[in-house]
Amino acid sequence: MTILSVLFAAFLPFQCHAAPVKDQCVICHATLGDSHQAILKSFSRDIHREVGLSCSSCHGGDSSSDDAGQAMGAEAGFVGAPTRAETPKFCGKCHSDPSAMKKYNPSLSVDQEVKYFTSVHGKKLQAGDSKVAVCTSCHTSHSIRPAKDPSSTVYSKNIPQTCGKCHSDAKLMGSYKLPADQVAKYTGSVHGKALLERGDTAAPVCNTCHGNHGAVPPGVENIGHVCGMCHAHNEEFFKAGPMAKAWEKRKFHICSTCHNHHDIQHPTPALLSSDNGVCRKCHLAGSAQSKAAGAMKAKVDEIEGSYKAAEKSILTAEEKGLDMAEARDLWDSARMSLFQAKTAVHAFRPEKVAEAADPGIEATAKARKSADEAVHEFGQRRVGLGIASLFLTLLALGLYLKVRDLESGQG
Amino acid sequence: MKALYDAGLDWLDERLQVRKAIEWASHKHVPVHQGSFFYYAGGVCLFIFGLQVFTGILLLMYYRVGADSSYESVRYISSKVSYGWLIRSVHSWAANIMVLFIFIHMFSVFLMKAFRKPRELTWMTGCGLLGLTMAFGFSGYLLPWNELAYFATKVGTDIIGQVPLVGHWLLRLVRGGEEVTGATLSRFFGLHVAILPALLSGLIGIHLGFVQIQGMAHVDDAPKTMPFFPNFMLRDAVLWLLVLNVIAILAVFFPWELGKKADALASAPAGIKPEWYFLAQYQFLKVLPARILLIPGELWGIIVLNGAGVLWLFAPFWEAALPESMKDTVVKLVGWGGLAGLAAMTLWGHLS
Repeated sequence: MTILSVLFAAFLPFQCHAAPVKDQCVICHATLGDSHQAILKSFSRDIHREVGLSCSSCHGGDSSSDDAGQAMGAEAGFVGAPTRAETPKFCGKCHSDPSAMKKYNPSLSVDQEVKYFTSVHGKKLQAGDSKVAVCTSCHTSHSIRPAKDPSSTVYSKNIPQTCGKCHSDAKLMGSYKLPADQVAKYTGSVHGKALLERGDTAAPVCNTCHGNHGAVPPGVENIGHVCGMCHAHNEEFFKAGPMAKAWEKRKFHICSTCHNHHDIQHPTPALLSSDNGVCRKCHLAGSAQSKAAGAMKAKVDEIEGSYKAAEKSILTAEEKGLDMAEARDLWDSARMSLFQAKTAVHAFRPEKVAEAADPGIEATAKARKSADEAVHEFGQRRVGLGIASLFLTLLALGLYLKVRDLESGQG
Repeated sequence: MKALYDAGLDWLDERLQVRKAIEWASHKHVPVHQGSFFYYAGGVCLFIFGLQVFTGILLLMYYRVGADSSYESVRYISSKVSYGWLIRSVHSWAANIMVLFIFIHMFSVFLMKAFRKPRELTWMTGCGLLGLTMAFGFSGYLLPWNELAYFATKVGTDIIGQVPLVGHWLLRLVRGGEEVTGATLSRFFGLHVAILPALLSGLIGIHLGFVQIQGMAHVDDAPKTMPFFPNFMLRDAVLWLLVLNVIAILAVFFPWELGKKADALASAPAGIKPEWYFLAQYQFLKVLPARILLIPGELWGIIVLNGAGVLWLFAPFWEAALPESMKDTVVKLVGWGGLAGLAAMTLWGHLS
């Protein structure tokens, strides 16, 4: 068994890398059972191993000595495995040291540890709570991959699952009086679907809004800014509009009051419905504000309807092989108007929505007219072809009969 | 009506001796047999050439050559100009049908052994006409400056670059530089609307002149003949009308697509292929191994294709030198074998 284990260690993939040829840590720990071998196997693909670091780079000790006491002795600087409370500082030995990081990845920031201690996780750890997330909770201990690597636990598509390890644990979250449905809600949200179903890695994920190393829940005062990182115009319209002060006074979350937070759905004009839209949460039916919401909804409905109708007409024409480039250009400009109209809703002024939507409605009308005319002309082409074809056929037949007549005369 | 026709003819005859020309044409005879249909193929080519000149001149009124204007002007022709879509589609479809009829005409002449003495030069001018028509097709294909045309021209001109010794020089000459650019477009335009029409018109004149001087082959040994004028001419006209009808139907039901504008920085669309009449040669070059006897496979391919072309051009001479007993068999083998080979490679290229 020992011989087999030594052979196993000798043929581990990381033996091929640039690490010291004789690493006594590997040779000995490969003989210590499955859990040790699993660590060695995991570490063979770890980014630290790939850049030439070995066990002793983090855990200290003398990796050249085959004497366990000497190799893992205090004199050799052996520190062993850190506790959870020790982990941030343990990793920070290098990750908070610019000169150490320059050797391996100069572009990587060195503020993770500092940020971590500003996070809820870090603060609780400092307060003596060892259940909170530390570096290894998200990055793993020995299978660490760069965030851009799809196999990494912190790759954008894997983040909901990584955060969900704790935040979907109802028992653990219950002890902090926190809900455990965020990941489930996110998965069904417009952002979650974009990331997890369509594979759009530009879609926001947990750390986009909460930060990663400095993870905190965005407060009332800055949630708008968090959403505004991507939805800048919406934030701008909202803050310049009549609602901002009222929202501030009532301590409303500026985006999530209407759109929720983890389960944000694709917004439809129905949100503005004067009967059961989100505005009715505060405004009475028949009030001026409710009517304004209805007017904005009507305008967004109008541009959406004309946009879809124009697309249908263009597709019908394109299916017939007709060139619809100009109509497509108009349709594209209407698409921009549609986005702008939906964004202008956040100004809560119907005239702003109309100002954005009207050019698009005009463009879609032109595009639709152009496509419908082309389809009509296509129909006329067939009629024209039928007439021309009949004429040519009759002419050919006449000529043929003339030849027959001529040849019968010639005998 | 007849009196008016006779008066008109008399008026022309007094000035141009038209009756003499009609008299001369009516003495020319065309053999009548099972394969007589193929005699009409040459006339169809001539008719389509006329159609191409007509539609080409109409397109020229709106087409503006240039990397920034070619695509836009063709789009304008297709979508804005009255009947522009029809003229463009007819021009594109007719070009393809013209090449098809040239192949039919050429192989029927070969298999009917109409290339034999004294018609060697008629055959050779006919081969020249095929070459010029294919050059017409190749140069015209680039003019809309769309994505497919751009990459097809890039691949096609890359092959020219493989010619030993002068390949690179030829490539630069054809492209007007190292790459396919607006300079290539200008060259192809000049070739398509000035140089090739002049050459093709002249060579058609010579080809027809030879046909008139020598008359039709096998007239003397045919069991039956018909006068060229008016019988054959009228039958020719019937076929022209039918071909025009087919082109019109294709143009209306399958309008020639324009696609995306050429973009040198974009990656080539998947499965890009040349026009069908270059597909056999393209497929042949594609399937050759990278190297044969240390020489690039493509170079071997070019040598083989050019060798076959030269043999085809000089068929009347090497065939005449064959023993009498072998002549018919060799013509049948080469003709049908060549046709089957071209068809098989084209089909392979189309399906792969």
